[in-house]
Amino acid sequence: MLAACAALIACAARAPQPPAPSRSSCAAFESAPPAERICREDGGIETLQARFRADVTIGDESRSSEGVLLVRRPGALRVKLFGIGGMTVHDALWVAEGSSVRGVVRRPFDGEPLVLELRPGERPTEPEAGLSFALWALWRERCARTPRAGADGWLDLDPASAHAAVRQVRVGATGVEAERVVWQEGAPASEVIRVHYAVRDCSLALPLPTSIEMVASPQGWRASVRILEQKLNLELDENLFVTSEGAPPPHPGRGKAATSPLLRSLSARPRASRAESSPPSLRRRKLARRARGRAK
Amino acid sequence: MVAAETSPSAPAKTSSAATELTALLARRGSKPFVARFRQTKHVALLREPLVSTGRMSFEPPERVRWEVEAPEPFVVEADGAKLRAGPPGKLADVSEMASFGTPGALTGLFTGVPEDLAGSFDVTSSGAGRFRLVPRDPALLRILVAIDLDLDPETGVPRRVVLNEAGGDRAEIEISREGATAPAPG
Repeated sequence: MLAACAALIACAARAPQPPAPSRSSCAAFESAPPAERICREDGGIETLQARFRADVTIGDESRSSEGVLLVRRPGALRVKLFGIGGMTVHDALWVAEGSSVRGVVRRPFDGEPLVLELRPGERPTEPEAGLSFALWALWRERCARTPRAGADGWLDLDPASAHAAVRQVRVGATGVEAERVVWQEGAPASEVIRVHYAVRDCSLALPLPTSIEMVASPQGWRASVRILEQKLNLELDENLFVTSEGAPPPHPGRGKAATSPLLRSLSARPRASRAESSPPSLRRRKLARRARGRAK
Repeated sequence: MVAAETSPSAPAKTSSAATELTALLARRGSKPFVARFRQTKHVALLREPLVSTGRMSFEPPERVRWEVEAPEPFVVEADGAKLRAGPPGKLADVSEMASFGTPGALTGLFTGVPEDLAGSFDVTSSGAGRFRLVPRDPALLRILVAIDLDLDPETGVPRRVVLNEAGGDRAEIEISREGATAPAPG
């Protein structure tokens, strides 16, 4: 009996503690001081599941995909994009591990997964990894230290949790309405991502935005994200955020170029240019190779 | 021991299922088609699936319209290799690279018998109109471990298609019979 009670208490202690329900969380936010409007999400969200549609433009190419975003604070984020018919066409997982962040980006139609380990200040140069990494950074804790007034109405946040050099927000009546992340201070504008948040969902315990515009124009991508459904502080399976064991088992076909006409048409992105543009400090390993190493 | 008992009969059964599926698809031919669909995406390890509903139509020889109504209106039109997509009334051309094979995948559901069906898939049957297709190409198998097809055993019209993905996700498309044999509006 005691053991059962202890187990229940332990589970209760681990369970996410959602903020008190509110009929209109927007109204409650409007009376809060700016710092609280910025920081309330840090303590109020432990997990999130959001279904969305994203219009992503990379260079001259645009793509509209539905997907799901899964967040588990403090440092895990997964994004899946689906094609017509529901097939998963993109699956990116980012997890903070010590001072680094590990990323696994799988594109089933494009051969082997991309595996990255980034140190603070580094960011992926591959466009297909850039969007999900930016989302990971934006979902990191905003208020490790109290926001400070900066120039031109921006508030400076502690950038370390986002592995960035600079992180700034502008706050509106119901929360953060713009955010700017710079990975290398003084570097060209290619290190900057600008985000605008709008159309808050006031029925949630925290009024999260449902329209998110992200621009990393010098890197050549921009994204317009519309949230279709979102849930806060739900129980998410821990295995969703496992970067190693979560890998699919090695398969005889893994790593082979797609051979069917359909698959050839789907794997057209030049991969060599991606590798050439990568900074030497990024450590890339093929997932299959890592899996073999672990099995020894 | 089990393998020794079953393996001699397996090729014959597979061959028979492929022949049965080919005959059913040939009987259906390439006819206009209008239906409602319900797409259920089961993401591995997520408790609740993601459901979309809408309407689809096919016009021979290769024109398919896939219109999602919920949770958000979105239209995809495939005509041969061409693909247009976007919110209703705002469709834009989609490049081949961004289409993930959508035109072929959509029209392939309705346009007669795929070329070299038995050569491309290991086909087994689990009942009237029910088939499992396992890709023979390792590169395709890396993406899809099996396609489950449930066809009307009389007409060959698809009722349910399940894409079992290698990563553990599963996409299920249920197609309502109502209007399934009616011609698409011009």
